[in-house]
Amino acid sequence: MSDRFRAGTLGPLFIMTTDSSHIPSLSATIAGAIEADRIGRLVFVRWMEHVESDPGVSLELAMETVSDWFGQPPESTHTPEGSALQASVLARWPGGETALLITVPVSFMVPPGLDLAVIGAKGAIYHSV
Amino acid sequence: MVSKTYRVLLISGDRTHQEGYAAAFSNDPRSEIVGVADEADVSNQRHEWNRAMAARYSVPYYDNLDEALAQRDVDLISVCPEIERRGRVILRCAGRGLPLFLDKPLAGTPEDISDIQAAVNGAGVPAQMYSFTSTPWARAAKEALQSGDLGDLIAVHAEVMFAKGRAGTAPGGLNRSEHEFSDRFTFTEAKRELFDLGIYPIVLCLWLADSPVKQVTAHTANYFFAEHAAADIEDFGVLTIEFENGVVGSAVGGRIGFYSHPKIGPHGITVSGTGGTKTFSAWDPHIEVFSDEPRPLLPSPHPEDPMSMWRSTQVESGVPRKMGWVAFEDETGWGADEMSSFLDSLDADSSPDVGVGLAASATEVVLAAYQSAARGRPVTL
Repeated sequence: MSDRFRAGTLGPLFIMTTDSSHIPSLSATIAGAIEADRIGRLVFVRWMEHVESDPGVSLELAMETVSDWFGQPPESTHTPEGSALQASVLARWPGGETALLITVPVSFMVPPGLDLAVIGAKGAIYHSV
Repeated sequence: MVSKTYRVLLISGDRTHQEGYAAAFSNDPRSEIVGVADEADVSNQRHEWNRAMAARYSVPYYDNLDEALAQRDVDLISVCPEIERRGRVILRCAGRGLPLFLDKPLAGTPEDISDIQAAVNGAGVPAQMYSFTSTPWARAAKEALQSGDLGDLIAVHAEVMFAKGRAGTAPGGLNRSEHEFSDRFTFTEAKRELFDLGIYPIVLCLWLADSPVKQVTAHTANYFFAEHAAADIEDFGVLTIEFENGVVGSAVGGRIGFYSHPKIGPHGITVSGTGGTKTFSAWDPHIEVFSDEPRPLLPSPHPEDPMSMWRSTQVESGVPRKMGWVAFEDETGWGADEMSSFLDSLDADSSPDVGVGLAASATEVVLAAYQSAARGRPVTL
């Protein structure tokens, strides 16, 4: 296998971005782009976070952030049964908007990080650290 | 001239995915196209599109499937009729006893899926359904798992979203209800995107998880295009797949609009094991180029293919290739890699990655996803 594919979109080792200040700043920046109608109506979020801590707790925090972007909590969620080392939730909002949030364990040599796709009806926002 | 190893008969021609399959078979040094064929009673327009492909490759067109299947100078059949005809056509082709390259998804009904699987297995012929398992990023994910570096697999996520078409036209506030079953999959102006694109990440999840599926939970939506909304078909789907071996799968498929990604859309896989996680994106590593080059602009929609579904109509309407991001691995070879891998498996007398069993399972997951989306709850397989 080519080592060019190692660790995909996750950033280099010196970037440690999932500290306490990153998510609020990210959330506000994305909210600003949504409110400015740069991507149209927000319709889908895919949140993939690599975590060192409890994936369930991280997933709850992620849901809070995403719910802020949608302006309210989801009307329904489904949490697939699986290993406690990961956490996933499929969520749907009253207007039909959806999100898939996943928190998974970090790897040796790969630090905590976030890969995010925020999809609007006419545009998208991507964020990878 | 010495004949090539694989003489390929094409079932259905232009304005189907056969456009890409035919080009790949034609370019592979091991194969050559020897004919195009279809059922006699298809529309005149379908016959015209088929004849156009036959003319392009300077091969005969058989407007009668029985006549075509009786030809002796055929070694492989590439089968690509519309979904609604796919079941009966594949059954007839399987009866010829030759290797089959099958368009995706396998079929549109559980009955057709079951019949195809039985016919292909009964005939004992190798068959492969088109998928993305031959892409460099999928291969890399598989190899990472097989290396054992990630430990035991616990979760797999795959997504294939196409940045094609002019998005932002869907009626605001539309909250469409999904239908459990459908008997129509072919439209000029749109496609069922969970069916057509969602099959890619679903195949990848099943291929990597290597386990029967226990439960599927899905949502479909009309987020982007007026054409899909008018046809009462979805342009987006997302699902979770719970496997019997405990692996949690998730898949995203949809058409999100030309301007919503710097390349042809988010394509990637994340595999998580007890030893960690790795992500394999189609576009990483890449360079980003900023210059005074003209920004790629989506041309006026092709009247016969506004969603840029077909190779020929994309060329005709001048859909530009986005070059702001340049990935280390060139995506233009993905399609040919799939055909090449099938020929490799025939050469080696080995099983293809996506044989009829996996193809059937993945297509059953797609159909279960529609049921889940319609019912608003998980569906057990």
